[in-house]
Amino acid sequence: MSAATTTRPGVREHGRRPRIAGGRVLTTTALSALALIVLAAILGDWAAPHDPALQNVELGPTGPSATHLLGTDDLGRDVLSRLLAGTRTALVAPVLIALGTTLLGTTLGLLAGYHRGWPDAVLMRLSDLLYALPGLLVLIVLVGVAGGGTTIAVLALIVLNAPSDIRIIRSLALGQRELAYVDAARTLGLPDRRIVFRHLLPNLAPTVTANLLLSFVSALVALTGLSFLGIGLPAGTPDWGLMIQENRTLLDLNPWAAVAPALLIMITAIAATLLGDSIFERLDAGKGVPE
Amino acid sequence: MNAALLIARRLVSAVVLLGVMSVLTYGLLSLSPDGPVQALLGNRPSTPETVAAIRAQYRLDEPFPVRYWHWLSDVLSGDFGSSVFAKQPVLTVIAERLPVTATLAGYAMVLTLLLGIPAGMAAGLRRGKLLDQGVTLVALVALSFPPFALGLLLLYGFAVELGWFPTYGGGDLWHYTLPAIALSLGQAAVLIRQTRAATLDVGAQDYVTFARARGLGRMRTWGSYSLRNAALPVLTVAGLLAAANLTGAVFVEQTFSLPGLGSLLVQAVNQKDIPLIQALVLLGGAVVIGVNLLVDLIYLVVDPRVRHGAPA
Amino acid sequence: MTPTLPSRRKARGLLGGALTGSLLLTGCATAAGDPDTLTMATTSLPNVLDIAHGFTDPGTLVQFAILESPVTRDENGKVVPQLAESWTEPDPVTYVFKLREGVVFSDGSPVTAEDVAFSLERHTDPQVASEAASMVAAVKSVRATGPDEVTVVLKAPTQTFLSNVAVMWQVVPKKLAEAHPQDLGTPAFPTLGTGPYKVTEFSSTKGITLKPNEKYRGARPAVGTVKVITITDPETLRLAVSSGEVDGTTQVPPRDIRKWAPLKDVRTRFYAGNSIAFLSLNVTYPPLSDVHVRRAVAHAVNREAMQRLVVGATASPATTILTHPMLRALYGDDFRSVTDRWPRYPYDLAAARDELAKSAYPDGFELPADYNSGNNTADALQVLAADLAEIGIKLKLNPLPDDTYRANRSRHEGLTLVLNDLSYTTPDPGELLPDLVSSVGAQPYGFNFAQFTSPRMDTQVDKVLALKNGEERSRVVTGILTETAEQAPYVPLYSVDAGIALNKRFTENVGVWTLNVLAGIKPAESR
Repeated sequence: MSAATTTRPGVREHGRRPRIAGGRVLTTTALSALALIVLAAILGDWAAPHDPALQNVELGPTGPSATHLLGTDDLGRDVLSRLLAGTRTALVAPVLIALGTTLLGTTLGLLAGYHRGWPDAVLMRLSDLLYALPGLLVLIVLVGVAGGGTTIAVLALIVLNAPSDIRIIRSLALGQRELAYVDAARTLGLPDRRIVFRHLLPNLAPTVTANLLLSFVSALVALTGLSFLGIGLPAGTPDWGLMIQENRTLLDLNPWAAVAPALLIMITAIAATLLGDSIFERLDAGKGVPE
Repeated sequence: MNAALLIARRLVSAVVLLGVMSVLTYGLLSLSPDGPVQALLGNRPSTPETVAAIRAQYRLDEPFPVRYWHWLSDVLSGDFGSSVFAKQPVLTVIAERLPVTATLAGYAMVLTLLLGIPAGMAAGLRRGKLLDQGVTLVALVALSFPPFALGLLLLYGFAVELGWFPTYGGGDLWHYTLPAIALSLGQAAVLIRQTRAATLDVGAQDYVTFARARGLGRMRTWGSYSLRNAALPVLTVAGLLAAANLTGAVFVEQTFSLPGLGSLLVQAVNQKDIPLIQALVLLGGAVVIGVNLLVDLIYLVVDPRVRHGAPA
Repeated sequence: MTPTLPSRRKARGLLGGALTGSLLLTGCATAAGDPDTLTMATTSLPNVLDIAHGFTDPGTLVQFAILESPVTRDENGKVVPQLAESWTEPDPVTYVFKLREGVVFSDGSPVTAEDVAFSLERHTDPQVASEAASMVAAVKSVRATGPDEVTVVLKAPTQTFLSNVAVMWQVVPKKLAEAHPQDLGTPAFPTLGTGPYKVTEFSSTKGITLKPNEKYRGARPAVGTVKVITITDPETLRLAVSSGEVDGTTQVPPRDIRKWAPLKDVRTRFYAGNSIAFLSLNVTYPPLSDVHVRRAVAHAVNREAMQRLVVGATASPATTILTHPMLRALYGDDFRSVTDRWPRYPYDLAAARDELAKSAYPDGFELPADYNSGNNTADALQVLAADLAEIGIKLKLNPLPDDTYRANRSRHEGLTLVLNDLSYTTPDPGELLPDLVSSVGAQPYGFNFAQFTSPRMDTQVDKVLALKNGEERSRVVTGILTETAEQAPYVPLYSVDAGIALNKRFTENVGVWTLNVLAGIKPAESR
C-alpha cells in the first residue's frame, strides 16, 4: 500500500524549520495530560475518595454532589473513585497491545523489507489475509469460544493490528536497504542482524515511535467498542470502556457516569496522538522518512 | 511488470487467499460445539429428537474436513447454501441488504472525500499555521471519539432535538444522511492525516521546488504537480476505507437500525449461521483484494516510478 | 406526503439543499399521521412467518394477525373455538374438532380437514425441527376423520394440550406446508392463512406490510394498513416512537419506563406478564448440593434491589416459581394468601450466616458463575456477589457473549448459579412445571437448570398434566411448590410486566392472554 514512497535523505527540509509556539503549547499540554493520567494510574487507588467497589444499592444513581463529585452509578458506587481506579485497567491493555503490535510489526516488517524473498512474500500474503478478515468477527467468535476474557482480546488485537505496522516498516526498510550506508555495511561484511538492528532500525526510530503511540490510541478506542459489545472485562471491574457501556442507560439520571469516562478516553487518545506526531517530527528532522 | 501479468498473479493469489480465509472462518466457527442449534431451537425447551434432527441436517456430528468439503463443493458448483436463520438462499439475503450498505458506504465515502482531501491539503499547504493546527486538532478529536457515541450524539441532536432527520432505517437518501456523517467523520480524520502527510511529502520534492523556482504560481504548482502525486497514498487509504465499510459499519448500522451487511454479519455470528458468515467473509475479502488490485493498477498507470522496478 | 410540523419541514428543505441536493425532495417515507396506517416496531426482524421456525415475539406479532388455529383463547385465558365450531373429548386422550364450514384462505381456496390436521402434525415431525415441538410432545396422532372433522389422540391425558394448540396450531394449506417444511413463511414462499390480515410485503430491509384479508369471514379490521418494521437499538426505538415516526411497540424495555413515561403523545402501559425470573442453584454441583447452602444463598438475595436493577419498578416480587397469571388462574386473585404459607427466605444476612453454619461449608467457598454480558443482568449479579461475600461465599462472575452463554446453558455446561427469566405462553402450570422440576427438563436442552429431580416429583408432575382443573389438581401443584420451596433449588425473584407503548392516535385493549395484538389496536375515536 505504500508502493509510491520514495526515500531520500534530506528531502524534508521543512522538518528543520523551527516549530511555532502553538505546536509547542499543544505538545506541552498533551504531555502534561498524559503525565496526569499516568499519575492517576499509579496513585488511583490511593487517591480515590471512596472505595470504588463499595455499593450503596439504596442510594442508586445520583447526580454530582459534595460527597460524590461526579455522582454515583446504578449500584450507588462513586463514579470519580471508579474513574481513578479504572485508569490503570484502562491503560494496561492498550499499552500491551501497542507494545505487542509494534514489536511484532517492526520485527516482521524489517525481516520482510530487508531480506525480501520468500519471507517477504509469505508475510505480505499473510497481512493481506488479516486485512481481508473482518476483525470483529474474529474477536466475537474467539472470545465466545475461549470463554471471555481480555487476554484473548489483547492477543487478537495485536495480531489484527500488526499488518499495517509490517507494511509501513517494510516499505521503509525497502528504501533504506538500497542506501549507501547499508551497502557499505554489507561490503564490510557485517552480519545482517547487526546491520538491521544497529544501523537500519535507528533510522526508522521516528516511525516506530509514532506507530507505537498510534497503536496505543487505536487499541484504546477499539477496546471501548468491544466493551460496548460486551466483550472483555468482567462486570464490576472499574474500567473506562466498561463504565461507558454499563452507565449509558443512566444518561438522564447521571450523565457523568458515562460521559466522564468517554471524555477521559478521548483526552488520552488525543494527547497520545499529539505526542506521537510531535516525537515523529522532532526525531524525523533531517532523516527524511516519510509516512 | 506489466498490468496483465500483475492481474494474473493477483488473481491466483486471490483464489488462494479466499480459500485460506474460508477454511479459517469455517474452522473458527466449528470450535463452537453447538453450531446453529441454539438459534434454531429459539428460547424454548426442546426435545432430544429435534436436536438430533437439527444436528443431522447441518452435519454437526461429522468431522470438520467432511463438513467443510460439503460446503466447498457446493460453493464450487455455484450454490452458497441457505441461511440457517432466514431460511432463504444466502445470496438472496445478501442481495437484499447490499443496496443499504452500498448506499451508506458510498454516501459516507463521498462525504469523507469532500471533507478529508480539501481539509488535509489545506492543512499541508499551511503547515504549522493556525489553519493546520485547527484542522489537525479537529481530526484528532474525531479520531478519538468512540464510534458508537458519535452516532448517539447525532441522533439526539439532529433527529430528536432538532427534528431535521428521521431517527431510523433506510429509505431515501435523507435517511442515510446522519448515519453517513457518523461513519465518515472518523474516516475523514484518517484521510485528513494521510492527505496532509502526502501533501507535505510531495511539497518537498525537487520537482515542486523547481516548478516554484521557475516562477509557476502556487495554485498552478499544486494543481498540476502535487495533487496528482499526492493522490496515490490518499487513494490507497480511501479504497481501504471503502472496503472496510462493507462489513465494518456495525456500530453505525446498529445505532441507526440500518439493515446493512455489518449488522447482518454480527447477527449471523451470534446465530452461528455458517453459510451466511462464509459468504459475507468471502465477499468482504474479495472486495478488499479487488480494491488493493485496483489501487495497484492505478499506481502502475499514474506513477511511472512504480513501473520501473520500485517495489510494489 | 402527509403534514409534518412546518418548522421541521423548512429546516429539512434548507439543509437538504445544502447537503445532497434535490434527491431529498421526496422526504420521509413513513406515513406518520395517517389514521389508517399503524406502524409498529420490533427489536428484531421476524425471520419466518411460521411458528415452526419463527417462534419469537416479533414473529408471533405478525403470525397471529394472519394465521388462525381451530381454537384460541379469550381475555381470561380460557380456550374458545376459532376455526373449529366446537370440540368434544370422548375420552381423556381424544379430542374431536368440528370445523366451521365455508372457511377459505386469503387466496380463496377452501380450508379442508386435511389442511387442519397436517398443520398440527408437521410440528411432531423431527425432520421439520419445529420450535414448538415440545408443546405437542404429547400428541400421538392427528387425522382428518371427516370432511369437517379432525381427531387428535394423545399419548397420555395432557391438560396443557388445548391451551398449547391455541397458540401454535397455525392452520396453513397442507400442500404448501408439505412442500416447504423449512422455508414456509419466507418472502420466497409466503404463508397463507385465514386471519383478518394478509401479508402484502415482506422484506428484511423494508419490513412487513399487512392489508385486510378480503376473504376473512369476520369484520374488517379497524386499521387498514399495518407496517411492522425493525429498530434494533432500544434507545433508537424510543426516539422513533417519540418523534411519531413509529406508532408503537410491544417491546418496551421494562427498566427504561422512566424514559418512556414522559413521552408526549405516547401512552405506555404495563400489565402483569406471564413470566418468572429466578436464580437456579444446581443441586448436583457440590457446595450447592447442600440444602443449607442453598437456603443461605436464598437468604442473601436482595430481591428488591435485583429487580430494580434488571427491570425497574415494572414487576412484582415472586414467592414461588409459577408466574403470577398462572397462580391467579390456579388459586384466584388472592393467590398470595396461599403462596405466603410456604417456606420463604427473606433477605437477611444473619439468617444466611446461620444457614451456612449448618452446612458442610461453614467457612464459605468460591462459586464460579457464567453470566450473559449481552444484557443488563450484570448489575444485579454484582449486588448478589457483594451480599454473598458478606457471608463468605465468593461469587466469581465470568462474562460470556450472549450466544455462547445461551448455548452453554442449553447444553447444561457450567451450570452453577444462573439468573433466569422465562416467559410462558399459556396460563396452565402444566406448561412450566415439567420444565423446572421434572427429569425430562433436566436433560440437555431442557430448562431444569437446577437439575432438581426425583422419581416422586416426576409422578407428581405427571399428575398435574393428567388431572383436570379443580381442587385435586391445585392440591398436587401446591405439594410440588411446597417441596420446591423447602429444598430451595430455585430462588424466585420477580414476575416482570409486559409493556405496550402506543401513539395516542390509537387505543389498545391488549392483555396478557391476547394472542392477536394487532387486532386489539384501534384508531382513537377523537380523530
